[in-house]
Amino acid sequence: MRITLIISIISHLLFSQVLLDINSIPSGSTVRLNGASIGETPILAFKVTPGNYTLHISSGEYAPVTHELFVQDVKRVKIKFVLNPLYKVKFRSKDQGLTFELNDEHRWVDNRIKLILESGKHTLRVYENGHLFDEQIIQVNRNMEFVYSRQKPQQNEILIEENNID
Amino acid sequence: MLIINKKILFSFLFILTLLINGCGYMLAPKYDQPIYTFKRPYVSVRQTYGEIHIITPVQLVNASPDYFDLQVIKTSDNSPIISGIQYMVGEPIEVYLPQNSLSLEVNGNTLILTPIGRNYSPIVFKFAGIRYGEIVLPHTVINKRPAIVSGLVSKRFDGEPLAHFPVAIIDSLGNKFSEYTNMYGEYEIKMPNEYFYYNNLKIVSGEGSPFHVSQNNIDFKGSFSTVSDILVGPSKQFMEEGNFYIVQNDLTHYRKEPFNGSETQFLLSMNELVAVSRVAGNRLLGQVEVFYETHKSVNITGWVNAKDVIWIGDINLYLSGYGDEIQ
Repeated sequence: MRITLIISIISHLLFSQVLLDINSIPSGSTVRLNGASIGETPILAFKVTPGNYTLHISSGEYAPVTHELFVQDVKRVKIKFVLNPLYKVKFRSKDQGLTFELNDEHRWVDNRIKLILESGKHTLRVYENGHLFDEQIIQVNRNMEFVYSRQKPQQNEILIEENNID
Repeated sequence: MLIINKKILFSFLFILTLLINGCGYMLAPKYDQPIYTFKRPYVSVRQTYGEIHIITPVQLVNASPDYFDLQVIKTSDNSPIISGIQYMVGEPIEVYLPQNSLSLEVNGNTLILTPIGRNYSPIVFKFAGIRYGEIVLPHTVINKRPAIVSGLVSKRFDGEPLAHFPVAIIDSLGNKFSEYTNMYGEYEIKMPNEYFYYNNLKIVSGEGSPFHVSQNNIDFKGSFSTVSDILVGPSKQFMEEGNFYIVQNDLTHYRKEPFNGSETQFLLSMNELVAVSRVAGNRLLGQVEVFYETHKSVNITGWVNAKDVIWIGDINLYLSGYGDEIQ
């Protein structure tokens, strides 16, 4: 009975292998599976057993991705990532004494600052003397410069300019 | 000197303007970490299931079941994995199952292949499953005792055996088992076991030969082997008539009178012999020999159109070797 159980477990481990293909844009991204590096994309026919895995994909100028993957007892799993690029963004404020905050957590008070931002939408909040007086969504899709200013302070309108710096 | 100083001053101011406007970020701080959107990137996951392909090679020897019935069950509890699959004879016996549908244990699965027909037993295979891929089960031969018809083919008029003479057995569906006699005029035709039970078999001899094609019924008489000797060609008495013509086409009218429109007694087949006694224009009066038992015959007089027959004379292939004449 015990031998049968052992054989069953061993055969399950030996034969219940699933082929895992990992591809990404950009190719050449580093892949870590449950913390262990398994190479760079494209990865073909990497053998795994069914179960839960954590995949971490990273590439130089792209936002890294962590993905929870449940591998079923199938023949092959193909997974493809399209990583979001990181852009160099210059941010300048025409007004003094403001505090800026991106995405609820990144704050600065400098009038000029260089940022690395993931492509996509970011939430910019502007504080003056600790009080929020402006909130905007900025869209990052290239290397660019943002210039922030209050164009008509009496009407509380805020203008942000986008300049292409490529 | 003053001009040069102005040029230097302008250059200095130009560079200063550039530094202030274009390179104003040279001294700007850099935020210490990339800022992410936490937007989910595009991720596509495709899980592909495999399939299990079971191949059951079967060879039929003297067997001809109506069809095969296949089922696969789990050995442990006899629960069906797949059942009621039917295969025609000659069709490859293979089945596709979804991945992981089989037990991976040794002999954990049972495939039962049942030939449907008389006197067949199911063929049972026990095997270990796989997650996906191909399983080729052992080659199986279904061998049954054949139904055999054998005999001797000889010329009726002198009893001489006919070598390399075509003999065939045809069932009601037109299935044909053909053979040629050996150098001693002997033949043996083996058929699937089921043919023993058929009662509509005919033995046909002479197809494609210069002889008139003849047909007889086959009766196994309770034995898997039966002997059916075949006599072909005209009798010795008929050969003495001489002046033979041979019919060139099937469905040739054999009339009572020479004129057009007279009653047709029966239709002659290709290669039948007519012993002609009189020629009247393009009509020939003659006799044909009709057998109502193997050795019993009657000669029937009638008329044929000259264009339907060809003269072969008195000395003909029935007297000489058959093999020489058909060259």
